[in-house]
Amino acid sequence: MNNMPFYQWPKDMKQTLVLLCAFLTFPLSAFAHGPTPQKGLDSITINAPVEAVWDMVKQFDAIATWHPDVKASKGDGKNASDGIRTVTLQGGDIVEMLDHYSEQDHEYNYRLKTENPQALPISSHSTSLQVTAGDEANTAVVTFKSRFYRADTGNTPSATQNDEAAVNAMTAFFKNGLVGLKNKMEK
Amino acid sequence: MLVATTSFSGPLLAAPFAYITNQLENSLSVIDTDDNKVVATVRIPGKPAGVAVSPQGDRVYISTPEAKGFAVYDTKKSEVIAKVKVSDGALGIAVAPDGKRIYVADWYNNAVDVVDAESLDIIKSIRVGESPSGLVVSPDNHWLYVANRLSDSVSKIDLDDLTVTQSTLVGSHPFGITIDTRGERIYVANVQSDNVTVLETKRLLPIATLKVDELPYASALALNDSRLFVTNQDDSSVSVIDTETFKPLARIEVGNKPEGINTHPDDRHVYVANWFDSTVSVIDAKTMKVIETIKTGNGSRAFGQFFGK
Repeated sequence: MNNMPFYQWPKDMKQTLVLLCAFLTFPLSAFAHGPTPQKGLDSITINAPVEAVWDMVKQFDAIATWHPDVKASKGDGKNASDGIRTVTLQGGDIVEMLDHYSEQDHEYNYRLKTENPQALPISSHSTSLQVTAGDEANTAVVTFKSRFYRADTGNTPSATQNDEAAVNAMTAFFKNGLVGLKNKMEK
Repeated sequence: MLVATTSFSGPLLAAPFAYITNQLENSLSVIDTDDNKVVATVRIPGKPAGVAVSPQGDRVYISTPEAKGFAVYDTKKSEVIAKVKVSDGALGIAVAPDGKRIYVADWYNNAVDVVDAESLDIIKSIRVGESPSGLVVSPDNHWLYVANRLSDSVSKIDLDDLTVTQSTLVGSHPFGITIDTRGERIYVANVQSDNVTVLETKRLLPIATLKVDELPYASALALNDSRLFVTNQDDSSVSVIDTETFKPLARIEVGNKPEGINTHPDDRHVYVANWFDSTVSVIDAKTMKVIETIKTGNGSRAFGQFFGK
């Protein structure tokens, strides 16, 4: 950025950094309030070629074929924007919709269309699933990335609908899906 | 905890700083834009989200929704000097061009709290639409514009008598709101309808609707207001639009889940906070290319105005 027309300081006017610890004395908030988006990120390496793994996950409405937590899934068969799937979990159904689908990048992004806190304690999410080549030959890495909100976005969520419940549920959903997929592919 | 201090007694305001809220790790990254390095990481409890820098650059107001208010960071002392309780769901925050008032949107109570910047007392709570989010004050300090996310509207508040004079419908779920330097136009990013509504401020009427990419979140103007830069949260990109022709000029790849966006006081470099990647992308508005990526903290949002002018 040396060519940028920023204001210049003499070197001795630079800030120096000091560690100070006893300086801010805010009490930690005991309860969660307000809408804070939560982050989900998990990935797994599978001993199978990218194309083979992608073939298993590419049909958006067929998640039940590889995700052990999904009892059933159905949809409109459309692997493109606005494609829809209904996912049946232990606690009931949720509906998800594709925002973006790329055969070339082995990736799709989707969001929650119809929530169901009994099935999954979140109110909205935007999630991507991508298959990329692993470091070793004939291995693939599958990655989930997600931004989501707890089920109750009001100010006093119950323990089953707060940030922690949402993070736990999404973490488990991604983990179980990735492990289930790996087991299936490497069987 | 890492806190910046100074090794000299002169003003710390020579080079502009960018103040980036990192919501998931309760911190504020202070970027020295002279060399685009993070020079301090300040602990801000309460899930910091929104940000507004005083016009003199001496104070940074940071909304902390889980602490039900905002924190006041003193840039000379490099420390948080106050924590103000205002509302149940503080998110959007703005400061007056004369620095005398702070405005805080209350997401839960559908109001904007007007706070005296000196006493930090609430002067008035003004009822607006549902889930107010983005706030912007006109350069002449006469008007406050509020994006009401769940009402799909923008409210115009007269700052002389602190009343809503007008509201108008925009796209679906408006969030970030930007005003031009003459105070004649505002640009509203509509998260759910994937577009930007352009309103002329005098009558608060839409003059254009600009199609962008997935989940537009906020915007910034650069190069004498000639180009509008819009973060597309679900597309890891920034759309660039010519503000004269309203034609798209470019789509720039940035980090994952871009949110807060602001133009450096040099009017040329646009800074974008990437929530998922926990980075800031620096865009050259002329070439429309990312020229640098700066590592910040977990969950960078920087919703609001994070540069001092």
